[in-house]
Parts: sequence; C-alpha cells; structure tokens
Amino acid sequence: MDELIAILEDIHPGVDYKTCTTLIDDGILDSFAILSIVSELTDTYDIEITPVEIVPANFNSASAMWDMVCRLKKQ
Amino acid sequence: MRDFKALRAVFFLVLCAAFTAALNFAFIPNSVARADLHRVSTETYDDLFIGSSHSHSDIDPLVVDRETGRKSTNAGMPSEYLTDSYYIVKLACESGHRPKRVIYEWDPGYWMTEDMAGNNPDSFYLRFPASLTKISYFADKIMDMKWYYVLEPWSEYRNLFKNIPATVKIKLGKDYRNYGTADLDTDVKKYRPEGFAYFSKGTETDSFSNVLSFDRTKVGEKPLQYFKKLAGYCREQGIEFTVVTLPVPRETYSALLSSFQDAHDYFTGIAGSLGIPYRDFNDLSDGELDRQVLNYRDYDGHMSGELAEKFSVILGKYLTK
Amino acid sequence: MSFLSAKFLMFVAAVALGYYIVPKKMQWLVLLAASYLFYLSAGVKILLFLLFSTFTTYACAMALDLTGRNAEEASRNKKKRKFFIFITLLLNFGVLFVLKYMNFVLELFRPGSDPVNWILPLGISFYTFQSVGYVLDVYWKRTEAEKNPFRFALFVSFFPQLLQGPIGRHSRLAAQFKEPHYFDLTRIEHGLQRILWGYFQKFVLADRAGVAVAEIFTNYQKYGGLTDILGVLLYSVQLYGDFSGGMDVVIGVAELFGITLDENFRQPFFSVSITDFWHRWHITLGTWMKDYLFYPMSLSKWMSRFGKRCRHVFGKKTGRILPIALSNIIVFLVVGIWHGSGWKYIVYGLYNGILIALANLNTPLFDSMFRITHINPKSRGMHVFRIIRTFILVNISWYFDMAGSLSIALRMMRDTAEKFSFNVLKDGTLLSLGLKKQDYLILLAGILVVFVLSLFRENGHDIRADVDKKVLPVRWALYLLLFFSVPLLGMNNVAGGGFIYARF
Repeated sequence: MDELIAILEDIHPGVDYKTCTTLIDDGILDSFAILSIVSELTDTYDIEITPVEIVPANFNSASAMWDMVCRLKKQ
Repeated sequence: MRDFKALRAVFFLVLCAAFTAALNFAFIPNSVARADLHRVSTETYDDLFIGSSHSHSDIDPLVVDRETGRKSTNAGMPSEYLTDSYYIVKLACESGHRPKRVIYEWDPGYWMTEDMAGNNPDSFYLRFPASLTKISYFADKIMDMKWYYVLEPWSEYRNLFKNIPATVKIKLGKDYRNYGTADLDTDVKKYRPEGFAYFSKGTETDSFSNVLSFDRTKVGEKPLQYFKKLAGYCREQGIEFTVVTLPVPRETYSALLSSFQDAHDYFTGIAGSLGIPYRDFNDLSDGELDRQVLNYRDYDGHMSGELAEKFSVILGKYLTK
Repeated sequence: MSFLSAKFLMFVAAVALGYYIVPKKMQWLVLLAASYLFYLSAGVKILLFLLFSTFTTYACAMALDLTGRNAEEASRNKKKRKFFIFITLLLNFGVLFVLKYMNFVLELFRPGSDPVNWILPLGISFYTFQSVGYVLDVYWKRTEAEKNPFRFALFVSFFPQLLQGPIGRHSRLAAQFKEPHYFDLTRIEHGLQRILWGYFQKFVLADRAGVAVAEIFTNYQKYGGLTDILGVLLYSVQLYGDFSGGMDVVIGVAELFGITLDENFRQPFFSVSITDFWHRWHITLGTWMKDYLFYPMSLSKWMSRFGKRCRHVFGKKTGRILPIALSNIIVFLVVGIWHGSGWKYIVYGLYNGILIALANLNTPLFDSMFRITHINPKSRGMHVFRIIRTFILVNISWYFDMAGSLSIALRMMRDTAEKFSFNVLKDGTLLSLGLKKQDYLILLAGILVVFVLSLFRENGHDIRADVDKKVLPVRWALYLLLFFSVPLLGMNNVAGGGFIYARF
C-alpha cells in the first residue's frame, strides 16, 4: 500500500492519500489522473483494469484502490 | 392539510387569471375584427365578403346591395389570411347565420406570405365569440403558437402601454359594448356600416416598394389547402362560392404586368379546376373605372372611399348577373 | 410538437392528469403512450427510426443477457458477445452517420455532388447515444438487461428528454419508471418553478441575444472587431439560455411525473479550465464520452502498447500522459462531429481536445512556474484569473460553432483583430443589429439575475430550498413576477425560434 501511495503522490502530488476518501467525489483526481494511475498500477502490479473497474467505489481512496489491486491480482 | 394546499394552489391560479384578465383589458385595443365577427355571428346576410385589406377598403356593402337588392356585409380585414377567412365563414354557419353566397377577394400577395405569429396572431382568435368554431380555430392555428401568446394575449400589445388609459376608457364606453368601431376612425379612415373602411384620398407615393410581385413558386401550401377547404365547406353547406381580384392602380399594373398576368393565369387555373367562378377586375378599362394611382391610397391597391364606391357599383352589377 | 407551444403545455397537463389517475402499476404505460404520441406528432416515417433503434438495442441486450448469465458463460461466448455489440453499434451509429454526415462525406470525395435530402429524425443524436450506452452497460454488467420490451421502449423514448437530452443511464432511470409516484403538490410546484425558469431564460434571454447573433454571424462581412466580440459573447448568452433553459424545462417536466433526470449544466461559466468546462456544460454528453469512449479507448490494448512506446521515447512522465492526451483528442474530435457535419465542427472538437491535452502535458511546467514565481495556485486571484481565461477560451471556440463554415470562422477571427475599434460603441452599430436600447438593458438585467443565482449555487446554496423557506406571499410574488416577466419581456417576432439542440 505504501508503494501505491508513492505512485499516487508521483502522479498527483499535494494530497493526503493516507486519509482522503473523496478523491473522485470531490474532483481531486480527474480522468487524466485516473488513467495515469491505472497505467502505473497495471504496469507495477501486472493486472488488467477494465473500464468496468473505473467507478468511484474503487478510486475514492488509496485503500479502495489497494483493495481493487489485490482483487485483480487474484484473478 | 392537503386540501388546504390544493385550495391555495387553486387560489393562486385564480390570482394569475385575474391579473391576466386585467392586463388583457388594459392592453388589448378594439379592432374591426371584433365588430365584423360579432355581425357575422349574430345577423344573417345573403352575401358575405371575405378577404384581405383590399376588400376592407374597396367594397362598400351598402352600395353593392343597391345593385343586387340583397343584404351583404364585409368581413375582409387587414392581415386576414385564408385560415382566418375559412373560420369566419364557419362561424357564420355554425352560429346559425349561414349566408347564401360567399365572395372571396383574392390578393396574390397574401398567398406568398405566411400568417406568422408576430404582430397580431390572436387578433382574430381573440375576437371570436365563444363557440365550437373558436375551439376548432384554436386547435388549428393557435395551439402551436408560443404558450405565452396564447395564455397572455396582451403580450402582443405590450408596446401600447401608453394607450392604456384611452383603451380602458373606450372599453368602458357604450360604443364598444355595442361592438362599435367609432374609436378606430382616424384622419384618413372612417368606418362606414357593414365593415367598410372609407379612406380619404391621398396616395402614399413612396409605397411602390411595398408591392409584392407575384411568383407562383413562392405560393405557400397553407393558402391553397385552406382555399380548397373553404370551397369544399361552402359546397357542403350549399353556399354559392365565387372569387374576385380587385383592381390595382393602372401604374402598378403596367409596371408589374407580367406578374399580374401570371397571377391571373395561376388563379384562373385553380378556380377552373375546382369549378369556381373567378373574376379578375384588373381587366377594367379606364372608361369603366379611373384607375389612376391618385384615386388610391397606395400603389398596392387600397382604394380611396370615393373610388371604392364607384367600384362597388361595378361589383354589384357583376354579382347580380 | 414544439416545447414552446401552448399545445405542449396542454399535452403535459393531460399526461399528468392521466398519470395520477391510473393505478400506480400503469403509470409507466401512460408515459410510454404519451412519449410515442409525442414522437408520432413529428411524423410516422420518423417514428420508424426510433423503433429501429429501440428494437436493435433491446435485442442486443437480450442476446448479451442470454450469453452471459455468469462469468464463465460470458468468457466462453466472448467472441459472440463482441459481435452482437459490433453489429448493434454499426447499425445504430451507421444510421446516424448516414443521415447526419453522408452529405459531408460525399462532398469530400466528390466535390460539387448534389446533397441528398436526408430527413433528420428528431432527437436521433440523443436517443441513439442513450440506447447504445445501455447496450454497453449491459455488456459491462453495469445494469440489468430489460426483459420487458415496452419498459425498454419507455427508457429510449421518454418524451421530455427525447429531443435534446439529457442523455440518460438505464441504471438510474429504469428503477424510477418502476416505482409508484404519488401526487404531491410540492413536487408539482418545484417542477413548475423549474419549467418557468427555463422558459424565462429561453424567451427573454436566449431569443433576444439570438437576434443580434444571427445578424452578426450571417452578415459577418459588415462587421468585425468589437462587434464580433459582442456577437460571440451574446452567443454565450443565447446558447446558455437556450440549452440550459431548455434543460430546466425538460427536467422540470420530468419532475412533474416524479422522474429525476440527470443534470446537464452546473454553472459552466465558472469553469477554471476547459476540462472543468466540459464537466459543467452538456454534462451528460461529457460523461457518456468518458464512460463509453474515453476510458475504453485509453485502456485498450493498442493504446497501452502505444503508451509503452511513448514512455520509451519520451520518458516516464510525458510518456504516461501522451496516450491519454491522444485518446482525449480523439474523444473531442467525436464531440465536435457530434455537434454537426462540417470542418468547423471538427476544428471545434480538436480545439477543445488539444487545449485539454496541452494543459495536462504541461502540468509539471505550470507547477514549476508557480514555485518559481511564488504565486499561490489556490489563491482567490488565481481562481478568478482561471475563470476569466477559460471564459475567453470558450468564447473563442464559439467562432467555430456559430460561423457558417470554417473559412468564415477564421475570417471572422481575423476581422475581430484587424477591424478592432471602440467607435462601434458610439456610432450606432450596436443599435443596427436588431436590438433596441431596452433590449440591451433587459439582457443586462437578465444576465445579472442568472449570474447572481449561479454564484449562489456555485457557493453551495440550494436556491430551491431557499425559496421554499420564504413565506407564502413572498413565494407567490416571486412566481408571479417570473411568470409575468415572460409575456412582458419575451422576445417577439423571432423567426423560427425553436430550441437549438432539438435539431441534433
């Protein structure tokens, strides 16, 4: 998860990813940022993220993203 | 609690209606349509003239009657399009005052322009007495207009706010209550009985540019459609239907000769195909009627009262045959 | 049937009456009948297109449902399912393409060819997108396939949104059509409020501004400089009043039936960037593009291959952004084309797409600039600067949207710069555009009202709740004022005058 937070800070700095849970709802991450994150996560964790996964529930917080990564790794 | 809310809502609507009625009363002026439509729906005539502003100024029913020995009235008005004429005839019939004959004055220019919502879309609809005809007219022409023209007809006259005191005074007066048009008289136009507008002499010499040159490719679908409807309706009701074109100034006629000839051919064709008698009075010679533009108000062909009375004799003689 | 006519109001009233009289289980049938009646009033031939779209997308969703009852089955039938999608997209977008763009394409390949008189069925751009979106949602299991063809037909044809959107999502609409809706005077009041406000913006602001816009853009050779700028600014007013006002009417009408449609506008002129603008203007088109084109394209295999190559050539940061930027440009190209056929629309789309792409590619650069200049990017001043900058950029894009063609748009832009002079403010030009002095005053007053209300909303105020809290006489006074301002100030003698987006 720390690795994930490092990725997020690299792509979109200036946000407290440890505590924020409204990254999508508050418009902090826009589509460009999301896709950049997806691209990094795909490469780093060797997973496939389809459009279906791009929902606020999976991206509103760093922990939600981590849950998604873990789930996709198992598939 | 719910009933109280509903009652409140109804009261609000009543309030809106009251404001609307007050605004209508204050803004909407008298018009000749009010008088014409009242006459047509309350008195029975042998002959009913319908058409445009030309018939309005060129046909004196009393003069015509002296020739024909019948009783006629003039319900032709400025901005009266065929849709309106159709419903005027329907109104006469449906209110129990079917005429024996309808004479439609065909002005080529009116068939090339559309009766758009703008200056007086409601002017005929508003003046229709409450009747089934009014409902059909509404469904046919008014319903598709912008809703605020329909719900708030005073909006069309909102620029006349300076006239409000005068309008209110007229509407509270006896003449208005008796469907009179005395308040509509001006320096140049005085209303005579049976819907005839008597214009004083004095041509607007710069009015040539307003004359529409007939172009049969520009004839709209609607006028032809309603003409056929009108002809059919008259046939159904056993009403004799005839069409005339009123003579324009000699100067106008010769300047736009080919266009007038085309108009003549065009309408002769239409009338012929429907078996309707058509008389184009543009064939009147100078000996029969002095068609100098000086005897008209404008190059478009609105006659002075003096000329109109002379013409009405000719028209009366024609209608007697 | 025009949304502006008395007939439409009578129609809505009649439908509402039927809706609240019938048993709750039949309410959706009333809406279905009303929607088809509404569409039928436009012509039987045109109805056939709607039926075609409805049938093909319904059939496709059913096929997807039958071949993907679980993950294993879906995986087994992957090729078949992809084929169903492909055929459905081809048929629906194919029809849209032929009707809307065939003449443009023919002209490209055979200049001087006679344009064919294709009919453009009302709302085809909207219902096609809505029904195709549904098919893709079923494919991605974001929504259940609708088994009842008539319920599905209602989703596609629901009359308030049929002509100009908002582009709805099945997951949000279908459930609403199934719920019972009880008559509630407060809801009716709210719906009517919204409808009235929409009509005000349309009749008083949009139609009025539109007179001068038409004059300036039609007779562009006569004008230039400040007059063109005025034209473009008034076009902002016209487009917003017309489209957003139109949405208020649409959403308000739906509200009368207890149906909540998605919002399409969110104070767009307070946007801080072009990206932000497209999150606030024609929102449902933006989200449709994002969910059904942008994300799928960006996450596709070929795009990720392209991404790998970019990272190799340009480095990690730029390489990561480039494929997204490319997708974005393609998406906006489609947005541009959606607006119409012609080079100017292509440029309009690309203009927006490239600006967004550049902004994202240059984010690191901007960040360093802020650091070096010690300017606080989150300060109020920067916020206002961004709003004004975005407003200017958006208005520049209107040249492409409103001008008759791309060459005219470019010519007008050149004339704006070359013929610039303050004299037009004094020499009577402004009063020769079809508007009188009082019209400008009415526009100014109206814009001020809209601005103030937008500012309140932007700051989180719920205007409707504020109005609800007012005592009855004040509420009634507001309603009467709003209601009578329409006949008092509505622009008369407007040729045509229908909603702009209803012809898409």
